Amino acid sequence: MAEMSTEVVAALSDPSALKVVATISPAGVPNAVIVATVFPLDPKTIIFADLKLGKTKENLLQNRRFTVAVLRPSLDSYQVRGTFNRFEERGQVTDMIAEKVFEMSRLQPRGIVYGAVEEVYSTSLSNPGTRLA
Amino acid sequence: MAKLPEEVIETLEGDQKKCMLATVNEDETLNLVPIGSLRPIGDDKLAYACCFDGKTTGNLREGRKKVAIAIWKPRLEGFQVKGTLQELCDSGELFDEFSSTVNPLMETMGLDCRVQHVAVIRVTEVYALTIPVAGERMA
Repeated sequence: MAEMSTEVVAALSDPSALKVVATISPAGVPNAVIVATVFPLDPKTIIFADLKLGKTKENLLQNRRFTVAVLRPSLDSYQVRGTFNRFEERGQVTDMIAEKVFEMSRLQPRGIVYGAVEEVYSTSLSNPGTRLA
Repeated sequence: MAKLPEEVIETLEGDQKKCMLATVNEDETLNLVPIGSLRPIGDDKLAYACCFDGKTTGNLREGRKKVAIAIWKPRLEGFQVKGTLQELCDSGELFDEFSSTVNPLMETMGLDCRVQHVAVIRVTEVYALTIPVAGERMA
């Protein structure tokens, strides 16, 4: 388990940043999708909503690995590798997050994905590949 | 082999798109990085300039050639292209073409790096990422 720095938390909290989630199938095929709802619940936990997750959810349930990349308009960018923790349809925090997602997108999430942060890297042009945590 | 739909080609030829490339690491985790120079080569290939000999190029060189690319088109559209590395060029017409546009850009940004290789990706599948059609196969 690793902890994201304040700059990485800020990037993942930035609504104008591009956020992508990558997973891998049991056959080793990567999948990469844009997920605007990626958010740092705390420095060790990443969450995102299931608005229309298909292959991503399937892959997470099978091998639990995921990588999130975030690119800010300033071109600062980070990569966070994580482990799928759970998928939750209801719960105090989940309901609160689902409500916020609905307010933002007018779309009702089917649930929220919770993942633990394992490794963090810079992917900015000034220091690509540098491990941050 | 699949063909890139016209709207994906148009997005890639525009200057507003943002792209992220996923490759597979040796331990089957994913490496996911922004790529700025991605463009279509005909209607069934993509190419981008590798300016750093990092994890992405390492994964491709080590034979893990499958990639997934998420393409964002402002404001709310997106596509995913899956493909396989066809070749890594370190000379030739394509290499010179990319070098002539990417190297000056790097210099302008104050970055001490140049194009090391150009990766050519053969397109195998294309999907929509735009809600409500996210996940639908386009090619």
